[in-house]
Amino acid sequence: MNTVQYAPSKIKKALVISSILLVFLALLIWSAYGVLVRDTNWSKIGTIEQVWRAITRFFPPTWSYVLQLGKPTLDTFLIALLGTFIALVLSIPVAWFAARNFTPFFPITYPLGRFIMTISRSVHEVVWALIFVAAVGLGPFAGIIALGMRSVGFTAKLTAEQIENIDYRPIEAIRAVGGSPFQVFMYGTVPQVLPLFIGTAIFQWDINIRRATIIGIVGGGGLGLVFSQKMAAYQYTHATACLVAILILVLVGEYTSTRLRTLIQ
Amino acid sequence: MGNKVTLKKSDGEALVMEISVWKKVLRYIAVLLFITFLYWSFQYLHIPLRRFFTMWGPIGYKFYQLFLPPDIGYINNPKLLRSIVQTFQLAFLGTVVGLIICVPLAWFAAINLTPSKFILYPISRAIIILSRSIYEIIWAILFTMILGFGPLAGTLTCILATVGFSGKLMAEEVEAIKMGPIEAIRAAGGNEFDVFLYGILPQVRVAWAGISIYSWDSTFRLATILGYVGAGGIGVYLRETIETLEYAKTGMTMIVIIGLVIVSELISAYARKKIM
Repeated sequence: MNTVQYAPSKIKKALVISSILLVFLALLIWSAYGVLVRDTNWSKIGTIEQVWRAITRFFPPTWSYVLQLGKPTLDTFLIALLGTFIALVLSIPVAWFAARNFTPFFPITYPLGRFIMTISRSVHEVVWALIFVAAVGLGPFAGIIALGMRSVGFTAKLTAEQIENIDYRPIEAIRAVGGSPFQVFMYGTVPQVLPLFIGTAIFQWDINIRRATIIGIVGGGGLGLVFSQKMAAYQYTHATACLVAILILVLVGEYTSTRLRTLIQ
Repeated sequence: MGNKVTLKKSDGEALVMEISVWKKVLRYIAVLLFITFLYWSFQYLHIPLRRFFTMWGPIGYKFYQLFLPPDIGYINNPKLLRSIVQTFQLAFLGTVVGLIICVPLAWFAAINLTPSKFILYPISRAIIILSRSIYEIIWAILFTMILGFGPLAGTLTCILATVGFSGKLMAEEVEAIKMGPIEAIRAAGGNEFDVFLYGILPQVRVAWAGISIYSWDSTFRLATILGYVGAGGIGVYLRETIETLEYAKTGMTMIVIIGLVIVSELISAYARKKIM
C-alpha cells in the first residue's frame, strides 16, 4: 500500500516553530499589556495638543548658544580621545592574559582576562560612569576612566583573538636565530597584531565620542553635562542647542574616523 | 628623486638620508607629538596626572561600599522584582515593534531595490540616520519630558534604538543580495512587492534574523539603564539608591543588571546558533 509518509522530523520541526511563535506572541501581548495598560497613566499624559505643546517647547534651538558650546565640545572630544587611550593601554595586559597561546598562567590569568572583558562589555557606560563619579567626583576625570573601562572589553577581545591567530613562522624564525623573548614579542607578535589594534582604536574612538556624551549626562563632563544642566534648569531650547552641537561633533568624528581608517589600510 | 630625502641644514649644507630612515624619524616625531598632545589634554581638562595614582583610594572605597558586601537581601524587594519584569517588557515590546518597522524600512532604504528612489528612499534613510545620531538616552530624556516618567517613554526609546541599529544593518543586507532572482521575478511580471516577498526576503531573512537577535542584545542592555532618567525599568533604582547613598543597594542593583545582561546574552548566543 502506498501511503504518503510525513517524516516525523518535519512534523516535529513544524511543532517547534509554531510553539516558539506562540510563546513569542504571548510574550508580546503580555509585554504590551504590562507597559501600555498597567504601567502607563494615560490621563496624566494629556491630550495630543498638550503633547504637541510640550514638543514645541524644545524648538527652535537657541542658535546663539550653540556658538558658546565650543569648550564643552572640546571637552567631550578630549574625554573620548583620552578614554580610548586609557582603554588601549589597559587592553595590552588584558589581551595578553586573554590570549590562549601567550597567557602566562592559564588556569588563572586566562579566565581573569576573559572575565574583565565580559564585565567591561556587559556593564553599560552609564553604570561605569556612576561608579567613578561617585568615587572621584563630577567632571572629565571620572568620564575618562569610565570610558576606558567600557572600551577595554572590545579592544582587548579583538586583540586577543588576533594574538591567538598569529602566524608562528616569524616567531620560530626569530627564536631560531637566537632572539630573546622580548625580541620575539617586538618583531614577531607586534607587527602582526598592530594593524588590527590601531584599527579597533580608531573604531572605538568614534564610538566613544557618542559614549562620552552619554557619560556626561550622569556627571562625566562635556556636552552631556551641559545638556543635563540645561534640562534641569528648564531651558529646553538651550538643551536643543546642545543636541545640535552633539550632532555636529558626532558627524565630524564619524567623518574623521572613516578617513583615518582608509588612510591606515 | 631616488630613494633619498634631502634636508637643508641651517649652515647651508644638505643632510641626506634614506627614505626608510626619514620614515623612522617621522614616526618618532609623531609619537612624541602624540604624547605631548596627551599631556596637554590632561592639563587642559585640569586633571593632574597625580590623580591616576591617588584615585585608587577613593575607587577602592567606593567598590567596598558598593560590593563588599552588596545588599543581597535587596533582591527580595517586590518593587525591584517588578521593575525587572518591566525592564523586560519594555525592551521586548520596543524591540519587536522596532523590528516590524524595520522590515519595510530596510527595503525602502536600500538604494538598489527601493520601490521609490526619490521619496521613500530619502525619507527612510533620514529616519534611520535620525534614530542613530541622537543618542538613546537623550531620546529617553526627551520622551519623559513629553510623556511623563514611566515605561512608555522607555518603549518608544527602545523602538527608536532598534530602528537605528537594525535599520542600517538590514538595509545593507538588502543592498548586498544577488540580483538574479530579482530579474527573474521582474521578467515573469512581478511587481515591486513580489520582488520583495520572493526575491529579497528569502535571501536576507537569515541575516536579518541574526541582526534582530543582535539588536535585542543592544536594546535590552539599554533598557536596563533607561530607568535612571525615568523611562521605566530597573534603572530607576540605580538613581534612587545613589541619591539616598545606600551604596550597598546600588551595588546589588548593578549586580542584578549585569546578571540580566549576561543571561540575555547567553540566550541570544544560543538562539543565534540555532538559526545560523
